[in-house]
Amino acid sequence: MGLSRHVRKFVDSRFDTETAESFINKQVHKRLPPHTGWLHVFGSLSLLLFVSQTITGILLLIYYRPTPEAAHKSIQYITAEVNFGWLYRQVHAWGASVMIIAVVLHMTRTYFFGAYKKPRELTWVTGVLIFIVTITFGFTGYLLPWNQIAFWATTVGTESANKVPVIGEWLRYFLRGGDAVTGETLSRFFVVHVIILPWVLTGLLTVHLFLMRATNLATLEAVGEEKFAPPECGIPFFPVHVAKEGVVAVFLLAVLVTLSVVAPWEIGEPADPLATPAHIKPEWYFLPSYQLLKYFEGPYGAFVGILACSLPFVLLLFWPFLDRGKHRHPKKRPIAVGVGLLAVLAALFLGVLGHLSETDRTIFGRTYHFDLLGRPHQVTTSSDPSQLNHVD
Amino acid sequence: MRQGYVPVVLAVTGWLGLPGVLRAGDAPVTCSTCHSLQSTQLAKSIHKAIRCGECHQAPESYALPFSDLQRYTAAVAPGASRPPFDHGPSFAGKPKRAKVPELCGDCHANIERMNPYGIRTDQLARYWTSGHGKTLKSKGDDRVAVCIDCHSAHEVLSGKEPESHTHPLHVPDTCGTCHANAKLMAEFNLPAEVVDEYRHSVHGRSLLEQGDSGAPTCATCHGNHSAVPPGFATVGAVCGQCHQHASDNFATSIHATQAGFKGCVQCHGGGEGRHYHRIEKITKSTGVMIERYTNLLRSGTKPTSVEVAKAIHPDPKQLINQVLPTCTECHEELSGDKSLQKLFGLLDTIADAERYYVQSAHHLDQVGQGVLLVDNQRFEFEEAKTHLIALAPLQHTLNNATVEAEVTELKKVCDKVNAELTDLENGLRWRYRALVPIWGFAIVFAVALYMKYKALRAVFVKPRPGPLPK
Amino acid sequence: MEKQPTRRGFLDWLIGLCSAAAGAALTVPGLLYLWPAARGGASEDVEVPNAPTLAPGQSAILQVRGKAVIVVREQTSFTAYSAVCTHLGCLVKWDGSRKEFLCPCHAAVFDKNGAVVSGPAPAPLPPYKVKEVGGKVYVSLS
Repeated sequence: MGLSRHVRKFVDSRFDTETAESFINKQVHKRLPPHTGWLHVFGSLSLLLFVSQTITGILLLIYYRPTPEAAHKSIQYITAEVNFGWLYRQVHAWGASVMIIAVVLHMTRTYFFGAYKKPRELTWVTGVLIFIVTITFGFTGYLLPWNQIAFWATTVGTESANKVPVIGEWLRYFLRGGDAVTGETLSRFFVVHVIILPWVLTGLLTVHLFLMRATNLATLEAVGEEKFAPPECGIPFFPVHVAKEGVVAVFLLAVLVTLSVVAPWEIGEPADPLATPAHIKPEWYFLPSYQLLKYFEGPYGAFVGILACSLPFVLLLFWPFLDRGKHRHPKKRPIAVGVGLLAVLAALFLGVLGHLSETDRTIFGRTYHFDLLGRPHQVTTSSDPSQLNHVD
Repeated sequence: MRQGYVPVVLAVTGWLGLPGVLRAGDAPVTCSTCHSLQSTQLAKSIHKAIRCGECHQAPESYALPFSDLQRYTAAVAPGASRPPFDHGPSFAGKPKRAKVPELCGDCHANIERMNPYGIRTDQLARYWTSGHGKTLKSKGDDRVAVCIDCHSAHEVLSGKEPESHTHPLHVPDTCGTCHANAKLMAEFNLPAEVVDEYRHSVHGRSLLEQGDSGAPTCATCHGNHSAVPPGFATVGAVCGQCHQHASDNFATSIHATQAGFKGCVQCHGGGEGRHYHRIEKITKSTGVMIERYTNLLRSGTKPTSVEVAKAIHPDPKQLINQVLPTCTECHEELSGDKSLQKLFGLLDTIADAERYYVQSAHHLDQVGQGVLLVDNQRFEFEEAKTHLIALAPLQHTLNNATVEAEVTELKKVCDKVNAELTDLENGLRWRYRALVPIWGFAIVFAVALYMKYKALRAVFVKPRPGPLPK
Repeated sequence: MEKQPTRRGFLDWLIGLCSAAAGAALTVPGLLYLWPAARGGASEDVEVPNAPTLAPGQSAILQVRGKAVIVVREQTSFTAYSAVCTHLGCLVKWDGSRKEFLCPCHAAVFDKNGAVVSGPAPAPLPPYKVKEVGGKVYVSLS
C-alpha cells in the first residue's frame, strides 16, 4: 500500500485534488428523489447499451472491411473464423434494436411523468436529439453488412430523400454519394456510423447527463410546487441506485447473449445491385414512418408525407414549450397523457401494419393478403400464382 | 422488280424521247425478269456472286423486243404454261437430279477454285462413299438425296446461318424430309421411325428442345456428305468421339470382346422394337437427385436405403427393364446368370454411392441453411461430386473392383465432410448449452445485487415524513 | 467515502465473486477475439502451402475464398487457374508430362494457359494472379 500513498502524494503536491475529489464525491453519492423506482432504469440502460455498442463496434472494426467487394466477406469471416466473432456481431446487431427500445422506453417514462417540464426542458431537447442520433446510428449501421436486405432497404430509405421539395434530388445525391447506392454510399455511411455519430452522441450525452445531474431527477409534484424531501430520504446514487441498476444490467447482458444464440441475425445474400428481392422493408424502427408515407400519394402527396413523418419529431423536440401546464403527475394531465397514449398506439398500429403489409397471414384458418396499405383481403385457396406470396 | 412497271416506264420514257433512257425495243432482259423467285433466292444465298449462267449455261441477258417481253411475262391462267422461250444454244436447262453432284462438284471439288474461300473439296468424294451416293452410282436411282435436297438449289446458306437447312437445329428436319417418310423408306427397306426416335432421345431433346446446337445431329454420327450408318463394330468409335471415357472404359470390358455385341446401342439403343436411335439418359444431375431426396424426407418417416435409392433414381430400374430383353440375346437365363448378377451388384454399388452423396449433400445444405458457415465444407464436397460423375463412364468397364474403388474414394470424402459438419453442429449445440450456466449465473448475480440493494436502501434511505403527494 | 459496516459479509463476498466472474467473462472472449484467427483476413491473398517444395511440373490444389484453384509450377514461376472445369464443374488435374489440365469426368482438356484443347468444355479456365513474396507463393484474389 505504500505505492498508492506515494501516488497520492505525487498528485496532491501538483494539482488541486480537493475540488475534484469533492465534486466526484458529490456526484457519486448524490441523493435521488425517494420515488425513484424501477421505471427509472431505462436511462442508464440506454447508456449501458451505448457503451456495449461502442465496445462491440470497436471489436468488429478490427475485422470489418468497408468496401463493397470485401464487406460481406468480412462479416462471413468474423462469423466463421474469428474467435467469438459470431457473438460480438450478434450482440452488436441485437444491441442496436435493444438500445432503440431502451431509449424509447426512457422517453416514454419521462413523457408520462412530466419530467420534461421546467427546469428540465433542455434535458428533454437534448434527449430527443439523442433519440434521432440513435435511429441514425441504426440506419447507417444497417447498410454495413452489404447484404441484399441492407442494400435495398437503404435504397428505399434514401429514395424518400428525393421527396423533400426543392433540394430533394441533391439531398439524395449527397446521401448516396451518387445516383444509386454504391460503394460511395457505404463509405459515407461507414464514416458517419463509426466516427461522426459516436462523437456527436458523446457530446449530446455529456450535455444531457450534465443537465440531468444539475437539475436532479424530477418528482411528481407540479412545476413551482416541488417539495424537496430531506436529504436522508433521498436515494444515494452510489451505492443504492447503482445496485438496482446492476440488477438490470446483469439481465440485459444475459438477454443480449441469449438473443445472440437463439435468434441470430442472418448474414444474408451478398448485395446484388441488379436483383431486387421482393418485399423490401426497412428495419422495424422505421416501419411506422414507412407505413405512414404510403398513405400520401400524388404530386404533392410525397411532400405532405414527408411533413407528416417529420411532424412527430418536431413535436417531440418542442414539446416542453408546447405543453406549459404545471402538472407533472399523469393523473393530473389527462390531455397530455391522452395525446401520448394516442401517439404510442398510432406508432404501434402503423408499425404492425407496416410489418403485415404485402404478406399473407392465416388467421383462424382463413388466409388474408395484406396489401400495400395494410388492408386485409380474404384470399380463396385457388391456384392463383399471385397469391403465392411468401409469408415473412 | 415488278414486271408491270417496265412496260409503263419504257412506254412513257420512250414516248417522251428522253435521252439516255433505253428506248422500248432495246431492253436487255436478265434471268431475274422472269425467274424472279430463283434470283431473289440466289441473291440471299452464299452463292450471290455466281451468275445463273455458270450452272445453267445461259447468256447473261437477252435482247428482247418490248412486245415479246409482254408475251413471256404476261400472267397466265392456272394450269396453262407460258410460251417456250429460246434460252440460247448452250442452255442446259434444269439439271437432272442424277447429274447434280457432279455439277456442284465442278466447283466444290476443284481445289483451285475453292482455295480462296478456304472450303474443303472432299464433299463429292465423300458423297460417293455414302449410302446416297452408292445407290445413285450403282442403281442410278435418283430418289436418293443429292446436293440440292439438303442445301437447296438456289437458296444455299452456310450451315452457320440460323435459317439454313444445314444448320444443326434444322438437320433432323432436313434428313427427316425423306427418312421420316414411311412410304419412301419402305421402297428402300429402311426404317422411317429413326427420326422420331432421335427426337425423343437425349441428344434430340438437347438439340431441339433446349436449342443446344452442340448436341449431336444426324450428321454428327452418320457423317454429312459421307452419310452412312456406322456398323455395330464401329458405333463405339462414333459415340466415343464425345463420350471418350465411356468408350475407353467399355473397350476394357468383357462385352467389347463379344462377337455379336452391338456396341453402345446394345444397351443404349432404346430397347426392343426400336432402331437404335432412341438413346436415353440414365444419369440424373446431382441437383435433381438431391431435390428428390429432400422431397422424400418431407413425406415424413425416415426412409430406408432402398427407399432412398428408389426415390433419387427411379429411372435406371425402368431403363434396365427395357434393356433386359437385349441381354437375353446372349444371357438366356436371367435369374441364374452369374454375370448379370454381377452387373446388378455393380449397379447397386453405384446406387449406394448416389445415396451416400445425396444424403451428405442434404446434410451440407441443412447445416449451411442456419447460422453456421460451411464454405470450406462445400469446397471439400466438390471432390465427392467429381467422383460421382466419374462413376457413370466408369461402370462401362463392367469391373466391380474398379467401380468399388471409386465409390470408396467418394465415401471417404463424404465421411470427412460429414464429420466436420457434425463438429460444427456440436459447436452450435454447446452455445445453447452455455445459456444454462449463463442464466444461472445471471440470476444468482442479480438476486445478490437485489438483496444488496435492499440492504443498502434500508441503511441509507430514511422513510419520508408525512404522506406522499398525490 | 462513507464506509458502512454491514453484517452481510456473505452477500458482499458473493457480489465480489460474481463481479470478478462477470469481468472475466466479458474480457476473456474479447481477448480471444483479438487474437488473429488461423486463416487469413477477409482480403488477404491466400498462401499456397508448401509451394517451395513443388517440383517443376507439379501442381497443388487449394481453396481461395471458397473456390478451387490449381497452382502449377513451371520451371521457376507459378501459374494459377480455376480448377473448376467449365463443362460441369468437376475439378481438373494437371498432367505434367502432357502439360495439360485434364478433367476426369468427360475428358475436357485445357492447355497450360487454360485454353480449351478438346472435349466438351465451352470456355477456358479463368486465371488467377500469382505473387511470390519472400520465398512464399500467394494466389491473389483480384
